[in-house]
Amino acid sequence: MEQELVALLPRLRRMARALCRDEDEADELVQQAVERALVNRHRFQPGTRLDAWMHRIIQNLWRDEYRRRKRRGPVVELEAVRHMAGGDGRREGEARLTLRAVRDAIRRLPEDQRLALVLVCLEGLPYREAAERMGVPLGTLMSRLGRARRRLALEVGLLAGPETSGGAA
Amino acid sequence: MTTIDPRLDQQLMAYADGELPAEEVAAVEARLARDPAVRERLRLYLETAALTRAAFQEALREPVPARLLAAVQKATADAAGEHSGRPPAVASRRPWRRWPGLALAAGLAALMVVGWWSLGPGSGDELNRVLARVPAGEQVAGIRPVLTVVTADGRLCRRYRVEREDGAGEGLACREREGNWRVVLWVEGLDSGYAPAGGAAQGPVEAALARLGARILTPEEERRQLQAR
Repeated sequence: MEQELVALLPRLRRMARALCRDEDEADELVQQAVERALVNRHRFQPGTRLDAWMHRIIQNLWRDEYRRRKRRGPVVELEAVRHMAGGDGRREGEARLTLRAVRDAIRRLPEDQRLALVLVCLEGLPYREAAERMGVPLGTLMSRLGRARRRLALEVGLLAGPETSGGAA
Repeated sequence: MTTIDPRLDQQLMAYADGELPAEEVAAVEARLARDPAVRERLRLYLETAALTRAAFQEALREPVPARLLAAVQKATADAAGEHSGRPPAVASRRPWRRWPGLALAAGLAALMVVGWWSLGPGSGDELNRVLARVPAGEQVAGIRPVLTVVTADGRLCRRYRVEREDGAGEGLACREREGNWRVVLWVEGLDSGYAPAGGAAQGPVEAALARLGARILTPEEERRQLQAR
């Protein structure tokens, strides 16, 4: 299992980074998840997917411990992002948007929306499976996912919404 | 921004994610074909998915910090102490290894969706001819191939810019088995310019390339690939 876990680490880190405030916290979360997995290794059913099991552990840890820590972060860079979205055309903002801005925007999403986005768009889970992981009906998952994406699009300048059009920027 | 009916909006997202029930696809595609605002909305869902992946892609390439590896080893050792009677699990099957391939295929399918109605100017025979022969950096008929890549699943694709009377923009096209070039992504307009050197800026084309696991070919490799046809 150790070998398999090591092979999984990059993907676990990717998921944790999208959920956590920053890279350090993400690694801390991954480490804690690995420790928990190994302590509970007898509960893992051979023949089932280790990646799904690990993702669940990460998701639970994050829900129980990490998301609460989020409260303290001030919202920064939002203006900068909006600014980028301004200008003559949306394309301008689009072309200049940095992946950094995308990461920041994702981390600012409400937690339920962020988790929906991570499960579907990052981890590639089918809607139904993502809904099960979140313990919500399919419709709820879809509405959270939609809101997450429209908000993300707005923040990074893909979408000229009320907050970026009409010279508001 | 045109208001999109909430039900259609949800269908568009599902379509972008490959989750739309088969019986609804035809109706959604009909709307897409006739309404630019609806296409724009679909683009939102395709691009937010692509950007989300691109934004965290680096975690997959970076080496895992030694600290984290050490923690895994230590935890393994501790756990082995507790469960000394158990043989270590054998790494015989690695189902997740199939994932990147699947995700990639899905990604390509989603990009394909964009291709068929928004080919941009110069699509068709002329684009085919240029992409089939003209090396990156040269311009013919207002079409300039910018770079040539091979995707992780072995497809030959080219990024190109178009500057013509009838329109300008940037596209990504991939060669199909019959040798035709199929536009998989078209971004209207060139006024955006490029990001400052060294910046981490990334547009939809970069996001698509990253998602496809594209490797940029050297001029020599490009020549061989183009001649191979």
